[in-house]
Amino acid sequence: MTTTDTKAETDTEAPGGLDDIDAELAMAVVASPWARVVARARRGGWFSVLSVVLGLVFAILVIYPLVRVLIQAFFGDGTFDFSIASEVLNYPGLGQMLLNTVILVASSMVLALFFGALFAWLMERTDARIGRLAALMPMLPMLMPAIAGAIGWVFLLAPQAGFINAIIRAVLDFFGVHLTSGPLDIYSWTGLIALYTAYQIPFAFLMITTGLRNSDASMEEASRISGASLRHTLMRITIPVLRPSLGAAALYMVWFGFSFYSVPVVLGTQMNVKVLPVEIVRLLTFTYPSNTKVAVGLSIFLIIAIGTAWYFQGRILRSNRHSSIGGKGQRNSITRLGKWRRPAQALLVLYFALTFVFPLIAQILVALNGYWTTAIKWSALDITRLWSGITANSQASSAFGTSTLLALIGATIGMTVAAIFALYLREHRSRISRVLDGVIKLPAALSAIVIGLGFVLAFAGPPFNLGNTLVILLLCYLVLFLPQATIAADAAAAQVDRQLSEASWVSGAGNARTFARINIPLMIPGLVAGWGLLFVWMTGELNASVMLAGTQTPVVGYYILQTFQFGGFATLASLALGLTVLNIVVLSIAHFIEKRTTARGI
Amino acid sequence: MPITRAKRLIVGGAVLATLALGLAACSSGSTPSSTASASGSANSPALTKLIKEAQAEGSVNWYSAIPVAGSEYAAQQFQNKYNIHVNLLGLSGAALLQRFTAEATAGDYNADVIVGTEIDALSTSTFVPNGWLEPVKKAGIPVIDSKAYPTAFLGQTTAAVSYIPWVIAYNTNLVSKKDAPKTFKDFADPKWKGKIITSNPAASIAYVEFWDRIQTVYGAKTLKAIGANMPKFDASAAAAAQDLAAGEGSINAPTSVPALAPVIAAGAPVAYITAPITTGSKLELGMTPSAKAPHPAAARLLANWLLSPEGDEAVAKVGHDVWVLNPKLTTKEIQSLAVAPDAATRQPQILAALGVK
Repeated sequence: MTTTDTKAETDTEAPGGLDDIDAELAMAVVASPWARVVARARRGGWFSVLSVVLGLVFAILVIYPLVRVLIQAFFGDGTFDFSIASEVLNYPGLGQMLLNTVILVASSMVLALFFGALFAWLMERTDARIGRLAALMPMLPMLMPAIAGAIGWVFLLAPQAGFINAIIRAVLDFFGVHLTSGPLDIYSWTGLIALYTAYQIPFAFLMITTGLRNSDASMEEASRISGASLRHTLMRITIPVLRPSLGAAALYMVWFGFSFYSVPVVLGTQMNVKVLPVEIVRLLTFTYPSNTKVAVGLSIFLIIAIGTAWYFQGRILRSNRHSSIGGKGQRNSITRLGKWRRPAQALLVLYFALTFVFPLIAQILVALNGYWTTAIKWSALDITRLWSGITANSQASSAFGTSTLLALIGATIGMTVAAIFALYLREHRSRISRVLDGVIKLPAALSAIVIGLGFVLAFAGPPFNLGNTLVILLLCYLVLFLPQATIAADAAAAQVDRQLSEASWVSGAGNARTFARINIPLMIPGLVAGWGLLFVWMTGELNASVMLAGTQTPVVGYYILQTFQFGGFATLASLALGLTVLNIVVLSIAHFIEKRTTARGI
Repeated sequence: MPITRAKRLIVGGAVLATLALGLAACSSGSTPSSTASASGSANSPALTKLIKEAQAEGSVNWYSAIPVAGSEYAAQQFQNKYNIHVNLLGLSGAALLQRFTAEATAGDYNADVIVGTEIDALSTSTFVPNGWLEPVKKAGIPVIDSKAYPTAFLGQTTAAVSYIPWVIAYNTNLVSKKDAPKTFKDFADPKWKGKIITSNPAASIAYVEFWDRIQTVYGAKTLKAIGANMPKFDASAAAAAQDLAAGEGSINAPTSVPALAPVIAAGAPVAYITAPITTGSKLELGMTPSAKAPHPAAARLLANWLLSPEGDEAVAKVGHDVWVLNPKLTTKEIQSLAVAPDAATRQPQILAALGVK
């Protein structure tokens, strides 16, 4: 294992005949950029060709639906409508809405990076680790669909009927302090930022954990043996080697925060606080015909935010001043926290309780009771209500089957494509390949409902006729979540030292063999973590599913959104609990695989 | 126990809605009882032939904006009667139209029958001219061809199925029936300040249309006073119903019986009143042209059933909606729920009056 500054490393080329390379390079000098990229792809063998083809296919899958949406929005009557700029810039409350969004995203990102890094460090590098369950803990808020999680927090901390508030009031009452509401209020900026943070911590945790597992702790150990303090070691060794992971986590969080719908729609609506993603969805669903033009216009702000974050992440990765996995073995030393061990473990348990156990108990109580109230009649709780939301109608149960199948296939294809593309980009940094990377990441900046609309316009009818099929859902999910998959894969690829690939090439292996035998095994911990995230997101996807879930292909997200708008929260809780159980099972398996591969040193 | 409560809810809802609408009516108009003759078409050769063709197709795709439980109940009744499977796609009004339009624009005609919220104007101006729908009068639906379906409820290109009226709900643990508001004007009373639960008026055009009626009847000053009493908005009618059941507020409006039904059926301390002045969401049925519909015969049979008393009542049963063929109500009583066609143009002023930022 080496921690290297590889800026000046030798630029060993991928395998290929030298004569061929010279000839093609000579042609490339005078040829078009497109010819150059083709020449480079051919130079890298069929694996590079496959990478380019995959990149192009997904770029088309992104661009074509968006073009259809733009045509629909701006050329609906056959002529270009110039009014979009003024409509967007003069949109009522635009400044306040952007400010609200930036405050929420920035503040929660800083807090989430801090807590995510702290939890990752506690789990990976200290004796505060709490076994297998502890490693899964920071992922737990993601197991429950976010809209159900947000409602779970309302059940707990609503000023009048919040369970926790009722308990606090009862305790205070015992001491002679009488309150009629509160004392806590989820409908506040503190509540809003806390929930944004709680949902973002998993991104930071996952990325940083992967980085820590893939980096060598001996440098930190050497630092401490040399007399450096814990803080000094953290600042001079740990954080610098984690730059790719921190960059990936920050990019994730910017993407997530600027597109996060569930928490602001539940809390922000009550607080009369507008944020960008909720307003975009409202413009698209408020009335018919929807205000697609302004919604797409407002999405440009998301593109700017995510593009900026992506640029900075790219700079971090390209600087290559970070830890990477070398050919030697690695071992992780454990820092003994002494008297801080128990408080650190208590902090982890508290996070676990606050982000998962309490909302889960609240959901279970509401499901059992049939409706939300603090005056629960314990003798009248009905256990069948726990699963009645799924079993009540055949479409709900078949939706679970469809969503599971789609997520299994989608997450596997998504991470495989992302891994191939991430490695290709690492070896081929042409302008066109970077453009392809940007295009593939573009959907992260757009509302899922816009992409869903684009897919219907592009692929539902002739000549593709994919309307109401699993294929259109699968393709849309891949496009929606490939940006996140590529970010995870980029980080995983950045941790694999290029020298290993070079050694493989020098030993006569081709790109495909190097990919299969060297890169993928070393990237597996990161890829499996990304796979788990993709699975969870795909099973719980709401907005695009509304446009694409067919009469023959119902999915869970569509049912959850329906229930949120029309049904009872007991049914919503039942659906959410079903999805939570599914996610726990799948993520536990993924986590087991990830741990095994890490333990085996591959 | 839940079944008993549900039955009480159904009976209570129907009685309350009927009584309230009776009070609302200034005078009795013509009744749609002529629809009884719809049954006469049940044995017609045309219908018998249609049933055979529909059963040969085996299924039908129904896009519906009726709250899901109501659509599912009606779909099941239709399946039981004709042994034809109903593939149901239930979405809220605007989302359903967006979905239908996107598919039609792409040339993907998946819907056989669409029941949307206030779609007649749109159908006439856009859907029919584009060839996405055909006028129901020309669709070969037996109850319309035989004039069994009343012309008063025929739109230009669609046919009305039901109205979902907006009601006032209250938490019975916090407010007695005597003290509960009887009209929407009562919401302006300062005693309700901070105790009103309401769905975000900006969340759907249907809310704007409702508040427009309140402004028209009670004045802009009253609307502003109501807005001053409403500090918080819920994201959906279902969320508002939950808040009411939990006691986060004392009264909730505008809401609908389908939104309240889950909490009432679960035994929550929630009751509702239908105010004399209110509006309702009008659900209208449109038909995909026979040449493009995946199941043209089954589509016509489903439409025929929905526009006959049996199907119309089934569609409204779960949500306690006002079904247009209800023989106990006059046409005028039913049509009193209609909204102003130009209400949406006053949206900014209405949202500002209610304090929506």
